[in-house]
Amino acid sequence: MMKKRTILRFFILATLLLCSSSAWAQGHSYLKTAAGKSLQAELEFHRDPHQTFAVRGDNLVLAGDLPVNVNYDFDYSVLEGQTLTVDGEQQHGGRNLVSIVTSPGEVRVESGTMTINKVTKEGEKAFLEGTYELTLEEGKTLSGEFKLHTQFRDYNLSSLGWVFMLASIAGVWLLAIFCYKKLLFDAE
Amino acid sequence: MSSEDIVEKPGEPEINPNQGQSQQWGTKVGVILAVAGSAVGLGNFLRFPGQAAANGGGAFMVPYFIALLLVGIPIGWAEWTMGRYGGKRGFHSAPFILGAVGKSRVFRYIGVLGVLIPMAVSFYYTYIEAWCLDYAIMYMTGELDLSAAGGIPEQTEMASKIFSDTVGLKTNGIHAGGNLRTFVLWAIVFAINITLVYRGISGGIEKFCQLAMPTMAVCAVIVLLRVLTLGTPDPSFPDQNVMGGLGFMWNPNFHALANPQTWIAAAGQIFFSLSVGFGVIINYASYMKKDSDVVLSGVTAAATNEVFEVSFGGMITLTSAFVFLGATQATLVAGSTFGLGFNTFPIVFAQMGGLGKIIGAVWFFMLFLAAITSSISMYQPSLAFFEEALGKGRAAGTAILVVFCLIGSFMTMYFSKGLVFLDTVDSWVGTLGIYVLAMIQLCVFSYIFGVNRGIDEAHEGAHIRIPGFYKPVLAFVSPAFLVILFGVFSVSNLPKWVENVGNEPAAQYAIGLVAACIVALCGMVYVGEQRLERRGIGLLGIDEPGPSSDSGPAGLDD
Repeated sequence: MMKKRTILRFFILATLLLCSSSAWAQGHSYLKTAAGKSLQAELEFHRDPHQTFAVRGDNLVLAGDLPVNVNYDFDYSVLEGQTLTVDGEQQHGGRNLVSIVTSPGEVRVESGTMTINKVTKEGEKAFLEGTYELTLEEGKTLSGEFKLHTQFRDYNLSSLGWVFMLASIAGVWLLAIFCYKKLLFDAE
Repeated sequence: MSSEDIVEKPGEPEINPNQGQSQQWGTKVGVILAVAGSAVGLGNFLRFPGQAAANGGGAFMVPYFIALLLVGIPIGWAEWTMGRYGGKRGFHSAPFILGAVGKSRVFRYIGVLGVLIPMAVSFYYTYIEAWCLDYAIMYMTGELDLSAAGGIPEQTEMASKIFSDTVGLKTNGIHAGGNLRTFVLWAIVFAINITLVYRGISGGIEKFCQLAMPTMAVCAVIVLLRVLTLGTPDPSFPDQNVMGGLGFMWNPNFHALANPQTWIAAAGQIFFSLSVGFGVIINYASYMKKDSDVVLSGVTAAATNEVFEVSFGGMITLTSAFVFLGATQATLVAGSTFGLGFNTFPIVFAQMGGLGKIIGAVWFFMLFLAAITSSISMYQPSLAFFEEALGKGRAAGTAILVVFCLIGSFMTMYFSKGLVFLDTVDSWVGTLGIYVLAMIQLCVFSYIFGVNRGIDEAHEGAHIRIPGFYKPVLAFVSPAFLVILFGVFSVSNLPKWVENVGNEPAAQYAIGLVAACIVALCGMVYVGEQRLERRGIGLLGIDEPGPSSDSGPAGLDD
């Protein structure tokens, strides 16, 4: 009984920790308006085959071309001091993205810029900080600052990747060799 | 009753339930290579890598191997055992075998699924086989060369156009869209298939698989070696290299294991990859000798399939797509079997330079072999059924098979626009039907025939024993796994499929064709029953066991 309770407590604690860490990560990736309103968003890069970016959150989509190529394996420091141009529409990751802001109401973004002042790296995450200015339809504008989080796409085969790959391949080959040996040589 | 007791009546052809009684596999390896050849198909090279990469990479292999042990291998054993059991009683087709194992006429009619599935799938599978052959020929003759098209966007456009023209994607009609050539190739491929099947189990299927399977392995090794030596083809994209490609496929994402979708995807992949619930294993196993091993043979066939799937499919496909096209494109195409095989790979080969044409020819020839070893296994169950039900001999059975397949394949080729017809048959028969048949077969084996009796039957002549823990697995775990899989699958797909049938005339024709086939096959079961009855052959076939051994309670308490 005691053991069950301990497991249950541990499970609840782990769930809470997971939820809070996820909320923390989301809360620290945002665009802030001049009025102080924070819009949660994440930054993505894609190679399409030219490189594009997209800032995506519940209340906004901003997309455009990258001014310089980035290496997914290494870091994004090359973007420090660069200005990203936001387009009204952009092909990104095979999808046609329309830049919009939906808070309050859905408004299309006609153009804009995002100036990156600082790039910091924390483990496999990068944080890009800077300021933005967007021209919305009907002549409205929106500006403020941002701190956006993105992840390194390190696709190099990791140690665990090696382990899973070799173990899987060796596993199926050994099983096949065992079976054929048994069938052809060991069986009467 | 024994086979000697059966007396032939005047004017009736042979007395056995069918003429297949004289047919048998020539070698132990023959049946394994034939079953493995049936299982190894396009999905091993084009579907598995996409499923793995999208569902946790290396971590996907955890649920994948669990599903192999808990679903794939036990259901396979059940089918091998029922097939051999049916063969001992003179039956070779799913309806009559299931009738004998399930001890009810109802199962004869339900068993029609074991004929319908392979036959209906063959309607379109032979067509896909013709695409593979067409692409292989185009590479051999240098006709398919995207390298002159410019950059990747232009090559992508050209590859899409070639595929569209090959399959007649834009318009219906045999001549439309430039797919007359595909039609001619289909006719050749169909003739090869029918000839091989007509030549019989040992003389046609076994001999061909003994040649085709090693050839396929050699082709796979050639392509694999080329892929692993690609290095970093474009220095301006240093992260697009072989190690990156392998990482894209194999780096584990353990978070995916917490997602039920990953487990469903893994079980689904194993299920479809091993050709269980397809009506093929049960038919192939019926041609085994009475004392032939089914336990080790079942595992060996599964292991052969896994070697192709994991060590070739898992290493070649997405790795090369990643190296030349990058992660985004590789992610996009990973979910699409046709897109990956026929749109993406020509671009990949174009990036390989001069050697790309040779590798392209080898690759598509390998896919052609993978497809043809599968398609012959789709014709054989139907042929066995026609022989068994009508008793008119192999030539007549083949003629009926040809008529069915000509109608089905012609409709598939004619209604090629958007591949709606093909997709509908694939969804309703090649996917849903397989779930249903697998569940029925497993229930018949575990609950009617009885797990204990089934395992005892499997152990006759077996080189290895089925571990004890497979008794509860066969009785509870595998059926539960299948029911959950079927439930999730139905909820997520059926409404969409029903809507599609309501909206698309081609989909309605496909459903109509399938319904007509079911009616015709059920009619043949009835005719077959009457024929066998006239000869005094009952539900349990020849050499019926006595009441003491046959009337015991089913299930674990058997």
